Amino acid sequence: MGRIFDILGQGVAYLLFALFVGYFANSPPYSPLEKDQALVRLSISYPGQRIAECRKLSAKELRAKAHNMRKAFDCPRERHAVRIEVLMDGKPLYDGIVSPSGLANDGKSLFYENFPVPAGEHTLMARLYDNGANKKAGFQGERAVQLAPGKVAIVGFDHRDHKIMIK
Amino acid sequence: MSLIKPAVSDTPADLSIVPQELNLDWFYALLYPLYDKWGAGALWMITVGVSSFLTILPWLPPQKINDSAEVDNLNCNGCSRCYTDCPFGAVTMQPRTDGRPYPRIAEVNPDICTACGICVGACPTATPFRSQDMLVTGIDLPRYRLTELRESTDKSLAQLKEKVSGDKPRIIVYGCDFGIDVKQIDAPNVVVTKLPCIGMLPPSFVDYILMRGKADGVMLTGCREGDCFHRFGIQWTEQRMAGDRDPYLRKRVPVERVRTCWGAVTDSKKLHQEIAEFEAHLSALPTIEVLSPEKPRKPVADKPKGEAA
Repeated sequence: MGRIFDILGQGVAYLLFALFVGYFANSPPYSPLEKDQALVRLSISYPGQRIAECRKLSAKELRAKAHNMRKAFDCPRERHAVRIEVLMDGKPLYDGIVSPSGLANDGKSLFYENFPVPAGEHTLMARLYDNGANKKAGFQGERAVQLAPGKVAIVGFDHRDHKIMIK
Repeated sequence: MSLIKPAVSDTPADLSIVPQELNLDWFYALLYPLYDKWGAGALWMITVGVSSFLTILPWLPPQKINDSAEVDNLNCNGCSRCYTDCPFGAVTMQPRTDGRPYPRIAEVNPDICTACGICVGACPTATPFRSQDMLVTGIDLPRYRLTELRESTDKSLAQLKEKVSGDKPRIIVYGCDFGIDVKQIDAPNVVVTKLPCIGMLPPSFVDYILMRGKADGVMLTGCREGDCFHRFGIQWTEQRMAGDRDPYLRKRVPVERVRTCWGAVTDSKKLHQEIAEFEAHLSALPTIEVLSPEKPRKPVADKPKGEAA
């Protein structure tokens, strides 16, 4: 009799364990956003302008170099850090500066941020400063968007048309 | 489970919306909600922290055993049984320098010793028949000396003498720190004594108990078979009792009055069953001829001072 209870108990223990695994394998549901929220996603990779323009070397400078190193122009690779400002309904949503990627600071600046916002109609404005953070914005875009709950508005950069894209 | 609730693919991803509800696999995708809640920095810290901990784990200092076995120069004759039986190679034999007429002496490496006491069980000087009040052995455990084991055994046997009346066989059960929980035994004719490892018990203790008529049966318990916490406690004990390993159980001892029971802490039912069977078995055995009664032990005027090697 005791043996039967042992087997039954073991069966119940296995069943409980299987239920535990089964339940947490896809429950409880996870809600990334509140029910009345939408998302503004900033996703831009953009190279800042070069810190210095190319400079033509003088004849004296060229002569000072080895034959195989004589290039007519000296072009520094470093780029400015890029600053992006995002405003929603005139209020700041994001303002950040990102250094160029790469060991020589000559790559793109990468932005990726998500902002849960209340659903509804909003005006999004983005400014991109690619020539030093305190200078005039290099690009600016503005658009009114209707955001249903769960909808994603993208603030990006259209490299083909070379402008800020909000959609 | 798959038949009851098959795993199916979700609807195709639409990057322009965030799903209101996601049926996550919380075992695999737990990091995503944590990322949303704590951010990437915290997750990186946790990941790097846990990985670093796991990486350095093998180099973390081992558990400190402050009371490793000690060798007593005056009583060690360099027989090397402790060296042979130590499951961890913590005992080595070194050339003798104290002028005593034996070529070698045991030496314990405290960094390796786990204080299991198996070396004490192997030592030929570890016998309770010795008449000194204070047992001093060639090798001993500072945290639980053999003399304490003899005192504990005597105390248990004295209880047995007081409690048992009638025909019920008297049984002493030895239990180790990591095996079957012997402390839960509650029977008037059964007493228990604990020790760090069953391998610490010299066979002469069984001889002492049975041949002095202090109990009718001895039960030796320990960890589950093949899972001895101190590696060879079970194996060496069985071999010693069977007369296959030095120190041997003396031939005069009726081995049918010795029983072993190996099991985990949770195997209490097995232990009770074994004890019941052992009782029935002992009841059917003829009485044994015991040795002459014990003489009073000699009190120790000056405790022998053995230098720890």
